[in-house]
Amino acid sequence: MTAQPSFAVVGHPNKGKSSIVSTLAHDDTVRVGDLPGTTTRCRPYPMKLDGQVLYSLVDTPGFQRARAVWEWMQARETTADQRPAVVRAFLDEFAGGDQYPDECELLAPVMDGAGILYVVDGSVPFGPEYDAEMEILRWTGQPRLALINPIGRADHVEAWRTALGQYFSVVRLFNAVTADFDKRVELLRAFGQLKDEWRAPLQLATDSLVTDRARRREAAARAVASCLAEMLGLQVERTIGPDTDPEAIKPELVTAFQQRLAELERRARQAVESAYDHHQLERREPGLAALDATDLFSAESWRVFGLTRWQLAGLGAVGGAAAGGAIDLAVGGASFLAGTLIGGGLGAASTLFAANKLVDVKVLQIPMGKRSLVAGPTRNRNLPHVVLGRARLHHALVAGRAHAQRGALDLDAAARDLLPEVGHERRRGLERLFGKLRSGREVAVSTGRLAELLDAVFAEDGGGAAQP
Amino acid sequence: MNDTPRTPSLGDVLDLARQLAHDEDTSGPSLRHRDREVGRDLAHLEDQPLRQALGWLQRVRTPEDEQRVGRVNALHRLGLTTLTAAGLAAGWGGANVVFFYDGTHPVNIIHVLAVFALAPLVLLLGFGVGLLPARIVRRVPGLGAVQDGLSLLSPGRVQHLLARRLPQSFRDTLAGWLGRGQAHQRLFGRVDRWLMTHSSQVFALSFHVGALAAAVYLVVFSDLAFAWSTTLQQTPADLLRWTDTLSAPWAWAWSDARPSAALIEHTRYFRLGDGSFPDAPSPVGLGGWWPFLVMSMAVYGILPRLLTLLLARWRLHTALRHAMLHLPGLDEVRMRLNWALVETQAEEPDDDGSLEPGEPTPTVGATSGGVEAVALVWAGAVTGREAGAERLRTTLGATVSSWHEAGGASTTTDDAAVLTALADAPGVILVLVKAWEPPMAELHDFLRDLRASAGQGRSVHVLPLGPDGADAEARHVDTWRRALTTLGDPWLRVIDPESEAP
Repeated sequence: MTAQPSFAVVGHPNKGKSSIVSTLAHDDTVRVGDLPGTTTRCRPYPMKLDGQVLYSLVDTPGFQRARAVWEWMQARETTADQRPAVVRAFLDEFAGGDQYPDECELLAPVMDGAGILYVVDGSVPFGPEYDAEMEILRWTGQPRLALINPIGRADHVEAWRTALGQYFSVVRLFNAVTADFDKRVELLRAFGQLKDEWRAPLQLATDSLVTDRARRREAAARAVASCLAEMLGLQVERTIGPDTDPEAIKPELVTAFQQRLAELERRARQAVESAYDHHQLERREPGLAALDATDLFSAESWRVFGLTRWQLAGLGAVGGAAAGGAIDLAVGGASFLAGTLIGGGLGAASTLFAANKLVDVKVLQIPMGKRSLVAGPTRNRNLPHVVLGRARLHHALVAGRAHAQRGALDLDAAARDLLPEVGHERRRGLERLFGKLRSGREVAVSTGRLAELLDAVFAEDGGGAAQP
Repeated sequence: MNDTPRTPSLGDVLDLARQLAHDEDTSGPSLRHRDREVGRDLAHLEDQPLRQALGWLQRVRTPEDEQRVGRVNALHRLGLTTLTAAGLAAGWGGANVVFFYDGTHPVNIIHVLAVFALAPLVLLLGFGVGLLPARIVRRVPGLGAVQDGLSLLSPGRVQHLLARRLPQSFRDTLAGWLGRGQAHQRLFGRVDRWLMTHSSQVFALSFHVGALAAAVYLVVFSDLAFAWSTTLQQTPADLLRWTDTLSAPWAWAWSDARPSAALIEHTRYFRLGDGSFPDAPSPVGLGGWWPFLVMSMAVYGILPRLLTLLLARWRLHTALRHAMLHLPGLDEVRMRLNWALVETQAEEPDDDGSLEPGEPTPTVGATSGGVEAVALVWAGAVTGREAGAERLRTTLGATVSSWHEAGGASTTTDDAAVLTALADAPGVILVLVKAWEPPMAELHDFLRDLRASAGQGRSVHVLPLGPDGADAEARHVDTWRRALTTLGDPWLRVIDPESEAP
């Protein structure tokens, strides 16, 4: 017997065993193919809490020669209590050989103590070829649960229920591709019903999964909040020559700004997908609508030493005042600080006047000044709302997506209507936080608060966790 | 762990920024795994975010990172050492100039006070302006510019020169972060501001320490004559009021360091009249100013700068802690450190070899008629033989001479008997299968055995059928074509009624 509960997912080839495993293990690397024999070896999927295994799922190859195996076992039948021994004898005789490799591979974990999850496709008719498989599984003597996984239309579920009910104590309908998180947790809890000693670890496991799910949502909310915060404070700067017309550079800068926005959004998408363990997701999403250049160019900054003109004037004033102060000192204060005042004023004025002239002047090969064109932060008040709407849709789809689901994630704009309206209070909270982020003050605190707010919004959107 | 530092260094902050930037390109699962492992070690620091972050950084950084951090901190220390040395030298030199005495003209204590007591107090005003918070600076036009201008004159800017010697990865990280928007600029701007302020206070304090040391040295090892002289209309009584005010902080403890009226009266000096001291009682009395001057330099030069240095040091550490805790990305790290790691994925990669066969098995289309065939129904693919025969006649133009059953509910012994019957019957062998069920190994075995018994060249056509004898879905036919390829039987065909007859 294994120390922790283990469940071997077995069945006919191409009936969705790997899909079940992919969804329950949140693993999109599981190969799901339409050719029989895609899985040729057992592959364990341990569920671990801080390294401690609470249970394991084992993906197995499908039955390939069940009739022959069943006949072999029938030929050695003694009494009902000896049937598991017959199965073991089968493994002893054929394990490692090439006569029944698939059956040996799939029966080995079962005879090591794994519970049986027998998977059938409820969209196709029951057939006599399944009898042998179910008989073999019954002979193992292990706890058994049957899953009807309708790969297409669920037209034959009732027939399957009738057939499976004769061999399995629990029969469940579970669509691996459409099952949401709550259904997955419910199924895992059902595994715990198969054997008393499995109840506690499965309960701990499902509770951990529920808690973890909430944390993943929180992580996703933080990724989106960070993205929004960075977008609202985003600046793109270009150094331009003294004779360059800033108007000519603006389109290039707008493009660079928008590319940066797109990059930030892409990173947030990846972070959200990673939070939910979707690492191979292909995404189809229309780009952000183009921004108006006037939204971006809130500042066309002239800079020398990285200072604005006023900062520069201040520097000139200090320098002038220092020189004037020296004269005041030299005359022993008899000038009543006139030198300091006049020097400061002259310094400021001359620096302001000469600001442009400093551009590109170099002393000792160190650039003394530069002229910069700065795009952003954006003044488009709608931008964060647009970005948030897109992020909510993406999050809801990713959070609800089963890992067995293959194909691209299509973020159809029309589907956005499916999301619930954000309440008035939350909307005000969002606007207030966007304002703070736009101002560039208390960004870290505001980002944290925005993440908390988004977490609540995401929970309402349907990406939330089930209750333990 | 008790070796976790409590205060971040400049190198730590820059290294954290570098590490966070690096992590942005690392996969989520590996980050969760790495950080949770560290987090379990640092569980006792969960309520101390800063120490936990520092502990985490220590554990994830490589020896190369460690070296880079060491280099940053060394550069910072080099800057401070340079400023300390420069300050001491400047102070020593300045004091030698101000206290210069060659026996011709005495040292003017007005001059000494102006340079080492009054000027520092005025410069403190500049320091105060530099400390004004942004919300006040924003409301006073031009004040920000003055603040920036003062910072440009700060000796602390030597740290900027040294910053050019930072490791390339840190400079890249810093440039990248500063280019990411206002939040990052503010975060590092605050550190930069207090870094410069702290450095400038180190210089200033060193300057005054150097000056005081030089003054004491000159007093001890040379014979200085002090006097006071000013063009302004100042009487000894006026000066006494000034000196009483200035010496108030220490007069209660050291009365000799408070100039007496007699000393002031006797040490007045006039440049004209051969520079004589008309009221001087003796040359010895001319040195009586030194306790007052030393205390003035200590209290009005060193003490304020010591306080401003401590303030700047505290604010620098606060800024470093603030930057460390508020760097975007650190909260995510703390989540990973403190949240239990739940893993559900396979530990080993899926290394099953590719099962995709090469070229699919060729298909044959419906024939125009006149084909003699023998039919094998595999696993109950056809329930009614008459309907099945009609179906084969109309869709394939095949006339079935005999029907056989195998697979499904049949035993393997039955299958073996069927093999013999099929081999003996004339015509094409039609194998009718359930299209929705995959071609399994036992059918492969059967088809191999059939080839062996029927002989080379005998046509075997596999017809996948839908439920109740309906046409199979194209995807199912395709699956059958690809799966049967593995048999490598050149006389085996999958029948696709949709395709043209050959």
